[in-house]
Amino acid sequence: NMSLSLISSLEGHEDRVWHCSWSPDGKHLATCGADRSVRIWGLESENNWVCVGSIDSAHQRTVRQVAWSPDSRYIATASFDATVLIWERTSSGFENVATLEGHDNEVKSVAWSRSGLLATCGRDKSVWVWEADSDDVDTEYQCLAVLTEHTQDVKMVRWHPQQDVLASCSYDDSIKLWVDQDDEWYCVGTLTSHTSTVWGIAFNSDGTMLASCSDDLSVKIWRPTAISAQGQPLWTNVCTLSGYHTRTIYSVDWSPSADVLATGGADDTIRIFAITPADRTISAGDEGKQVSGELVLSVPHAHASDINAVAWNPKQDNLLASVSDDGLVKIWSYKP
Amino acid sequence: MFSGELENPNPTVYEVAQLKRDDLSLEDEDSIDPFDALEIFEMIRTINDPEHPFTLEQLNVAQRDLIKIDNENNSIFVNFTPTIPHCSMSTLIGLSIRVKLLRSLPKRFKVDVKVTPGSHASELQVNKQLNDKERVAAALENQSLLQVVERCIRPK
Repeated sequence: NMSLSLISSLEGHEDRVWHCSWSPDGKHLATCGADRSVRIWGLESENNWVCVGSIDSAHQRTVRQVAWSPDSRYIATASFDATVLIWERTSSGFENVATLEGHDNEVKSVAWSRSGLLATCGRDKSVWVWEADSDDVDTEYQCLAVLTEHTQDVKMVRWHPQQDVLASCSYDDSIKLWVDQDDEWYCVGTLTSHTSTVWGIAFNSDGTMLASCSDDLSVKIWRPTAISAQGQPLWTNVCTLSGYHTRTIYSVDWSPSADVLATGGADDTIRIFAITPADRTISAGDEGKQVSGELVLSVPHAHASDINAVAWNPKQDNLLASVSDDGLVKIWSYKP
Repeated sequence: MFSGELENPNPTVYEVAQLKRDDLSLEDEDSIDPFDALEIFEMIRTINDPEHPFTLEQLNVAQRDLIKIDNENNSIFVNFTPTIPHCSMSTLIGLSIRVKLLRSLPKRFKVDVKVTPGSHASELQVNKQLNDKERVAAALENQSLLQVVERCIRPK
């Protein structure tokens, strides 16, 4: 009796909601969108999610993505106005504590690594890596690298959950993996198999699998199947899920506790896929590395318009958030 | 981009046909307000060409036969035919069609706008750009570009 049942449908945004992100402690959901605002949602009482804070006119233009710092104390916002802002949570709300400037135009994604590095990317085809430089009073963000190997705008950046391995995906149909070696960031892999824009990527909780979703209407699973001469894992496509979504897939996310994927896209449908097997070892050779996926649940008309992001709560098992062009933020409970 | 010599100085101008609902069979009368190709055509036929003093209908860029509707799935598919295969205005024309439909149609509709197959040298690139909603959203936040689009979709 698998089900995805709606817990809350949250109104507040005045336009398309582009993105949502759970705080690492699982207590809050941040959302952002075309109304240039950020909203923070929290649990007031059992199953009663409410808006507990907001940053109105956070940016001059659309706020495309929002990300939490690993300690849930800061949020970073990426905007079409070419800036990334860092906000600190205080007792009275959110205070802008830093501005990251450098991108030529729209910034499309921002992500915080477990170790505290920031990555950003955008329409200028570049990926930037930033490091916080703090003294007692101020925090400044230094740019460590500007990575320019994508040939088209870069849609999203995501960090590996444990290591400082960065993944980026692009309108150029590829995914790239980046690492730092001797203070030099470089590309250790270009994953090509999608045949149109790759809109979203997500690592599973232990970093042994990467999922991607695309305008080509497929979801792909990637795993390290070999080790390069330089000692880097080589990721290959081990599973393709197609024939389910009927329009562009904008978002994919792994459940924190199981090999389960949620996807959302322009067909207004949330889908849940179970991925098997879960062999965690990384070793040379393709044997045993093939992965299969099965659609276990499909929720048509989950929203009245395009679903732009889906995200599992990192702490509360089976709690899923979704945001849409319909302006709503929805919280769902998944029963496997 | 929007000044200087015209790419196609002498485009063919077509007679504007009398619009009739003759061959359009009535669709399922029980469904809520179904749209037909003619209604969609009515929304985009008066869009002005970015560089000529003619409408998309007069230049045969927009045609009723290039519009397909699936009311059941709330999807609308619009092809348009640039007057020349290297037309640099194609993205702008497509954007104008998209904006006009966005403002005229109920939100439930999904709209695909693409150049007519074989009618443009960079067909895939133009189509990909026009159907990337993030790029469209960003373009429409660009005030100077938005003004150009507004000029195209404003009825004469």
